[in-house]
This record gives sequence, structure tokens and C-alpha cells, in this order.
Amino acid sequence: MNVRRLAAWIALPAAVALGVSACGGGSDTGGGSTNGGTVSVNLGEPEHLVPSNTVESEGHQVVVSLWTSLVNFDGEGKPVFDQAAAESITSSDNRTWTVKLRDGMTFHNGEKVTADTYINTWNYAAYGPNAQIGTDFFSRIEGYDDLQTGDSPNATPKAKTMSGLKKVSDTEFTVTLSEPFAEWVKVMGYNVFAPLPAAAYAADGTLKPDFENAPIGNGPFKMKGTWNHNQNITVERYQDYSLTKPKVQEINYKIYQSQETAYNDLLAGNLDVQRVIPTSRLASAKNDLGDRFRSTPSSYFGYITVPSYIPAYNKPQIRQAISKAIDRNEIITKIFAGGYVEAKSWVSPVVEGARDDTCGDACVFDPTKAKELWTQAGGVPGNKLPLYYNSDGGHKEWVDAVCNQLNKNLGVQCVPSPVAQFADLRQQARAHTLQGLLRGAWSFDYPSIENYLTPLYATGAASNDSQYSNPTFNQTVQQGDAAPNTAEAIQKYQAAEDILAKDMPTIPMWYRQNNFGFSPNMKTVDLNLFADLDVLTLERN
Amino acid sequence: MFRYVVRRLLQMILVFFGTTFIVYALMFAGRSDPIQALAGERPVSPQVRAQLTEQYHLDDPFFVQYANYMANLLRGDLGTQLSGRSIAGILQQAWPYTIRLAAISIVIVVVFGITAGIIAGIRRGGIFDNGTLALTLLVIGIPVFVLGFFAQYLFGVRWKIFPVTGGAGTFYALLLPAIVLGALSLATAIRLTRTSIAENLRADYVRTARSKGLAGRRVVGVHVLRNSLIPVITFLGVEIGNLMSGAVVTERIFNIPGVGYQLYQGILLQDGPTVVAIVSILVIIYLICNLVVDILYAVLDPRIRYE
Repeated sequence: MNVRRLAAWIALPAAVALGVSACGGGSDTGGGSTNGGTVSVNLGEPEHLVPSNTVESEGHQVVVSLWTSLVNFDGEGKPVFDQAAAESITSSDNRTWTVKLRDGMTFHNGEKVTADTYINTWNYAAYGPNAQIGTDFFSRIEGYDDLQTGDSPNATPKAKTMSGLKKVSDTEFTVTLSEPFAEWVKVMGYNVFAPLPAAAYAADGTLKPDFENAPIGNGPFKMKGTWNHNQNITVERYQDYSLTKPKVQEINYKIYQSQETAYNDLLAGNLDVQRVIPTSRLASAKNDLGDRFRSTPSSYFGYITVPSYIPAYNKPQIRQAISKAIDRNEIITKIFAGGYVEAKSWVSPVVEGARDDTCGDACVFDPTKAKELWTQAGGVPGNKLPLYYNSDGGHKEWVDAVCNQLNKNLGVQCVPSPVAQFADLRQQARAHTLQGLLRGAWSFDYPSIENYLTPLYATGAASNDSQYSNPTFNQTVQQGDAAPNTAEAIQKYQAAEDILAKDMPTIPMWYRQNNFGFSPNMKTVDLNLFADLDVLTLERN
Repeated sequence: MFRYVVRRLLQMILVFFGTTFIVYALMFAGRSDPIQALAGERPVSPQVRAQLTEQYHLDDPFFVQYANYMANLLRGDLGTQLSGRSIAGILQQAWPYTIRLAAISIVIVVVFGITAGIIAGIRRGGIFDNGTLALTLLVIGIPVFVLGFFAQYLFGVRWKIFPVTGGAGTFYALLLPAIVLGALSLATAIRLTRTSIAENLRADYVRTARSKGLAGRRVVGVHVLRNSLIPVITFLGVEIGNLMSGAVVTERIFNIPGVGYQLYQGILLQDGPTVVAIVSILVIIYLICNLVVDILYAVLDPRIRYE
């Protein structure tokens, strides 16, 4: 073999490689400037794009572009019907709710949105065998239980339709709940209640498998092309939209695997809006972006659960001592680079009825007082205080910091105890087997103060990790649910929150901020209550 | 030769089954709750959990699940992810990116690695030799994700020479990720070629060739290079597989929707079938590369024979 043949051996794969790489698909950058132009927004690959199956933030962002919800919320978290799919939702007894739909709304394929569309969609979403992730939202509606399979997943449910849904006319229907619930309107503001067109269903009543590749909604934007998995989802302004049309022609959701990369793309000018700035870049974001970096309150409430099922921990003094021994602001500045704000209550400031400081003295950092309370109450067995967290969520740094503070200020041996996966940690938390403190966090399902109370602290509730049980608390919340109007309901809920302040089943830590940023091309960028980008106010320069 | 190849191919089948079994078992053992991933940090109702567990046979015993999976695999059905997407479709979309990326990388490694190695080997102790020595040491010392973010920031954000992300899939967009991906192999290839050349230059047959009056170019190009390339080819063969699986980090940094990304997601979401499918294909690539390397030995060195 001579040199030439050898060269051929090397050159051949080279040629193949260049050939392969040359046929890569071309891609566009920037946007057409016709009619408001195109805005590029970062996104993670969604799990699903069917509203009733979408509760994670990435899919939900696309869903709010394609669907209009029944209820919107104003700056104070109060439900409003401006730009909403419903004209009004009213009830005299908080049990039977009358939904009046706006006339003239159509799906992107031209189909009319009627009372039937909603009833069919909700029955589909609530039907057990369809296994929709958002099905829980429908559980307050009368007849929901008949659509479930119970303990045996193979069984056929008793009914296919919920008895609580009744059509009145093409634009009006009633929803009857199994128990009165004063805050129900707020629940219906979430997009799992969005309607599906008849075109979405196959002959057997299930959804067509390819529907979510090009979902059809009733919202301000419609799909442009199909879901380009792991790459992008593009939506364009729906020309026949009957409400106020959006200000931009197109939104291009670019799918990123890592937020750091998206941030670099934002700096390089290839991305217009980044919905979440990664914590690692928060410190430099203010410098990099100036006033194009924004921080708004979110519904995310971070806390530490104290077990009520271990006697030594079931004392208010012990809980107050732990709370007073933690310097939240130091951790927020040093570790979160200001991406969180200190929490002095149990309800995120974004919902109606939230108050700034319900915790009072117990949430004020005071190491001397903390140590006093701790000694008085007798401490914990073995002077060992485990703090459990999941190591797949970036919690290690702050958990270590909290433990250091507790060690220093209480003279206790706080042990950061990682559990590899979030799911594992949840499993152990549900089983109440953890022998110590537990990190926790809660974002609302619907923007109501009630959602920060019942699921977390009602006796036997699914996320009541502390196994907290106070009959007065349960009773007060129930009184709120049954209250004749919102104002009275909120009063009751606030009274329930005050009970938490005395018992402290959880120690409030902080509220997360929505930290987002945008390029100089953008004029208006807002987030809504659900931390989704507001697609209606979005505007380019 | 033919018999040798057939024997190797038969061995490959065994290795293939062995690895799929091990990977499947590992994924099974490490799995806690893949359903939770569908809902982010929100609680999933027990109803939905039971329904999905039933639909995807998540509570069947290990051997039943594995047997089902393999039976489907042999029929050419890679299964579906928990989100309902077909794994075959996902891989079809992802592979072209990774193959392109790895191909550009390997070309860079071969062309620049061997060339620089030869020059350094011939001019041993010179400025070029010392320069590359320092540079390669540096590259070998830096972890690939540091190198990736650094290169991305410098060339993409700061100087805007390359696009920040490689998601467009064009040659230009993939060039920077490919350089980062191939950097470690490139450095190793240079060192390997250099050492090998330098050693062979002192061999008896080189002196003989020189004393025959052959031109320096012919001595190096034919006699030295052919002997020196054997270890380099071995290295490159294994490296093709490494580059494909090593793309996990690079693809994430440069946002390339390739196999590395799917693998990462699969592990994160505890999606056994996707991970096994990708790893099985990677294993096949490794095996084939190894076979090709072994056959190449005979081409480079006629003394090596296979019965």
C-alpha cells in the first residue's frame, strides 16, 4: 500500500462526514417584521400540549397561547372576565355555578365554541381511564367519582359524564359541585378547563394521537406548522379571534435543554425573552441586562416541614426556635443572589387575601431568643436534627447553609440528609417515615388563599407532610369554603392562617421571584399570575 | 478473514444481549417514580398514577418487563415514552444530529491530530513540539463542560464568531460544538502520533531506508507513518463511539437535539426504554468500530493475519 491509498483511507471518512454535515437543514433567525413581528421565547420540551394533561410550566406556556381561559385575574389576584372566554360566572349558593360563555368565539379550525364543547371536554378530562394529569381539578364537580375506576385500573367506571354539568343553552351551562366552594371561580381560571374541538376526538371518543402535534384551541394564537419536538413550537396570531388580538404576529418558542445556554443566547441577541433566568446567572444578570432584567413575585412558597408525628417536634417553642435561628436574608443574598424574598406568612403575596406578616415574632431572626426557647422546650432526642431534601433539585447549598446556622445558633447537630430523587422524597414524606425536618415547596394550583391551606394542613390531606391535625383549623377552612361571598370566605381563610402561625406545622422560608429578562427588541414583557408569559401584552419595539 | 468476521459478528450478538440486559436492569433498579416527572413538582393523584402504571406495565416484575421489551425490540418496535411519543420516531430525529456532530469531530481529530502529531514528532524538541505539548496538556486537563461553556461564551456571546447554539444543524452551527467535543480526542491523538513517530524515526528500518538514499518525504510518509499509525487507528476506532456518547455534555451546552440529549432526558425522567434503545445502538457502534479497527490492522501491517 502506498501513500495514496493510505490517504484514501483517511480521506474517505472525511468526505462522508462533510457530505453528511452539508445536508443539515437550514434554519431561520430573527423574525419577519410584518404586523408586530416575531418574538422568540425560551421553552423546555413540554410533556404534553393537551390542556387537561398539562400542569407543568413549559407545556402550560404554549397552552396559554393557544387557549383562552374562562377567567382572568387582575393585578391583585381577583377574578375578572375582561378578555376571558366566559362573560360571567355566578352562583347564589357557591354550589351551583352558572357559566355564561362569550358569543362568537371559534376554534382555530372555525368550529364554534359552545356549552357542549366545554361539557364534553371536561367529561373527557375527568374520565379515569383517560388518565389526564390534570384530572384532580375536576374532582369537586358532582359525579366526578362515578367516572373513576377506583382501586382497579382495569375496571370500567360507572358513568361517562358528570352529573354536575348541565347545558342550559348554546352559550350557557351550569356546574354543580358536590360541596359548596366559595373560591370555585378561581379554580376555573386554570387552563386545564380549556375546551377541545370536536376535531380532536377519534371515533371511539379518545383523543387523536396526533392532535397534540398541532393542537387546535380557542386562543389568541394558533399553531404555525406542528410541534417540532426538541427544537421549537411556533404560534401565529389567529386572525378570526373575537377578543382583543395580540400585538405580535408570531411567537417562536425555542426549546432549550439548559437555561444557561438560553441565557447566553439572550446575551448574544438570538433570543428575545427568557422566562426564567437560571440562579447561577442571577448575580450577573442585573449587570448584563440592566432594566431588561425583571423580578416579580410568584406563587412559589418555600418552607420547612416540622413533623407533628414525632412528639419532641410537636411543640410550638421548638418550631419557633428553629424559625428564629435561621437568617433567611443572609441565605437569600449569598446563595439565591436575590432571586427569592423572605417569607413571613404562609400564603404567597400574589393571591387575593394574602398578608405580609402573619408569622410575627416567630419569623424574626434572633439567635439568643432561639437558643433560650430551644433549651426551655428540651431540644430534640440525641440533639440530632436531620433536614431531608432531594438532591436532584439544586437544594444542597441552602440546606447546608440552614444547617450551619442551626448548628451555630442552637448548638444542635443538624444533618443535611439528601434523598436522591424528588419522587422518592415525596414517597417517604407521604408515608410520614422521615425522622426530622423536611424541605418543602408549594405553588398554587389555582390562585386562592385556600389552596395554600387545605392541601397542606387539613387533616389527612395529600400534601400534609407534617401530619398536622387541628380540628379548629379544619373547621375554619370549611366555614370559609361555605361562606356566602368571597370577602367572608377570605376572612375565614385568614383566620385559619392565624392558627398556623400559632402551631407552625411548617416554617415559612421564602417566596420565589419570577426572574426574567428580555432583549432590547422588546417593549413590553409581562408575566401573569401563573408565571406564564402574558401573550396578549407582549410587544416589540 | 471471512471466518474471522463471521465469528466476530456472532460474538457481537451475545454482547448486545448482555449489555441491553445490564442497562435495562440498572434502569429498573434505579427507577422510583417516572410518573411524577409528567407533573413537575405538583402532586399526582393516586387515580392517575394507578391508570398510567397499568397502561405502561410499570408494576410488572422485572423479567416480565424485560421479556416484553426484548420481544418488541426484536420485532423492531422500540416502544413509546411515558408522554406517548414513539421512541423510534424520536431516535430517527435525533441520530442525524449526533452523527453529523461526531463526524465533523472525527474529521477534525484525524486531520489536525495526525498532522500536528507528525510535525511534532519529526521536529522533536522544537518550538512546535513544545507548544503543542503545553496546549494538549491544558486541553486534557480541562473538563469538557468547562471548555464548552468557555468556548460558547467567548466565541458565541463575546466575539459572535459562531452561533451560540448548534440547534440549526448546519455545518457552521455544529463546528464549534464539534471542536469542543473533539478537543480531548484531538489532544490525545496529537500526543499519540507524536510519540509513535518519534520512536519509529529511530528504528533500524528507517536508517536502512535513509541509507538506501530514499527521499525524506518517502521515508516518513510511507515507512514511518504506516507503522506509527497502528496505535493511532486503534485509538480513533474506540473514539468514534466515545464521541457519540460523549455528546451528552456537548449537546446540552450547545442545545443540539441529538442522541446525547435524549439519553440525558431519559435518565432524568427514568425512562428505561429510551435509555436502553440508545445505549444498545451505541454498543453496536462501538462493536462495529472495533471490528473495523481490527481489520484495518491487517491493511496497515501485512504481518498481522487472521485465520
